[in-house]
Amino acid sequence: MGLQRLDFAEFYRSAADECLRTVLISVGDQGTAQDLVDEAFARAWASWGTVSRHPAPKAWVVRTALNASISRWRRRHREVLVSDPGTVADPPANGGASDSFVDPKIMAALMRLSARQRQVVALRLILDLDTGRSAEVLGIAPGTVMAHLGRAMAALRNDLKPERQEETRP
Amino acid sequence: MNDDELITAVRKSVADVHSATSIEQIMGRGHALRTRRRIPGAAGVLAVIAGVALAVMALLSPARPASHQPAAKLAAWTVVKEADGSVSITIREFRNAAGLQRKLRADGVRASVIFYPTKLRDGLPFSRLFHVPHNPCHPFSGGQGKLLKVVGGPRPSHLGEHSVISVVHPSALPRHAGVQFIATRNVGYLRTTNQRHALGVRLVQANRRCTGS
Repeated sequence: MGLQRLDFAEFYRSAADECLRTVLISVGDQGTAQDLVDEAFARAWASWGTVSRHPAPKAWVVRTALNASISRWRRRHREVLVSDPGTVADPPANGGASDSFVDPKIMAALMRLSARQRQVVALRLILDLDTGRSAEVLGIAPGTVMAHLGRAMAALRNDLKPERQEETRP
Repeated sequence: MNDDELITAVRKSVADVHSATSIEQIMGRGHALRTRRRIPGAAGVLAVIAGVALAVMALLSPARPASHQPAAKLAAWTVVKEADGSVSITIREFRNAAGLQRKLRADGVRASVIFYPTKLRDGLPFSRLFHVPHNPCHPFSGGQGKLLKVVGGPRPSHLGEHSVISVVHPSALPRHAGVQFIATRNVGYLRTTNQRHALGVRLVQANRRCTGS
């Protein structure tokens, strides 16, 4: 058990950020991505005997995270809406800082892709999976992965191209 | 922009994103999942309870009519120790968290209370509420299965005052566990209103830094 713990801890240390970034690009929301990845890693630890023998444990985690469904009912019941801000004391002065560290321009361009294209981009570019493994994770044909990646790259290139500068005359 | 530059740009765009969850939290949740598997009969029940591990305790009621003037200003919160040992908490304003925390601890509840640790990014899921900077507490390593035995309260529709009510049963607290209340604003999945405030509760690992003992 002790060795298993060390083994899993090492895996988590090396893979957590990469998996989080991959799922973030796929779902577009950092908090949601963190929840999904946390749950996927917890499941990996619960079944570490099996997952550790998987040829690509990182791919297993990402697939589990992407498959994880969070019921809408639970989401709505975890939330409180307050319509009377007068009942609330002033927040502390240090409030207001965003906890997001994502480049907004590129994230906006990624969000304009289809969900499947984003997943392919995330698996191929962030998790660095090959076409075959990406296809396995997503349950689609390798040719489809290549097609999605090609279209996604073209769309991103077009979206992120530098704005043309106007020529100025003296 | 060629392919290499594009790939580099996409990678750099998320390079500063790091997981905020400790290995202990992940393993704690993993242990809970394993335990659940070993008790097939309880699986359904535990699944529901795990789902509300980060539950909101109660809804705040709608705005008070402008014409209504209260006869006297009520305290921000009230704590009453009941004859059966349970502790009733009524929160009217999210103010003086340290005082509420002291009072709860004095009444035998290993508690941590944080009001408005920071303004979180709009639209964050509720579970992020506990991922606040400098939170001295970690989730209870035994999981959140006992949460609803420890903390209860009337349904939101039964609330008579403009307040949040919780009932804590200290005797139901597992050994080495405490309760954490965190209130903040701007969390939640719904993006249709700017005024969102949430009060969350969870079981935490009791220690001097988090719950005072």
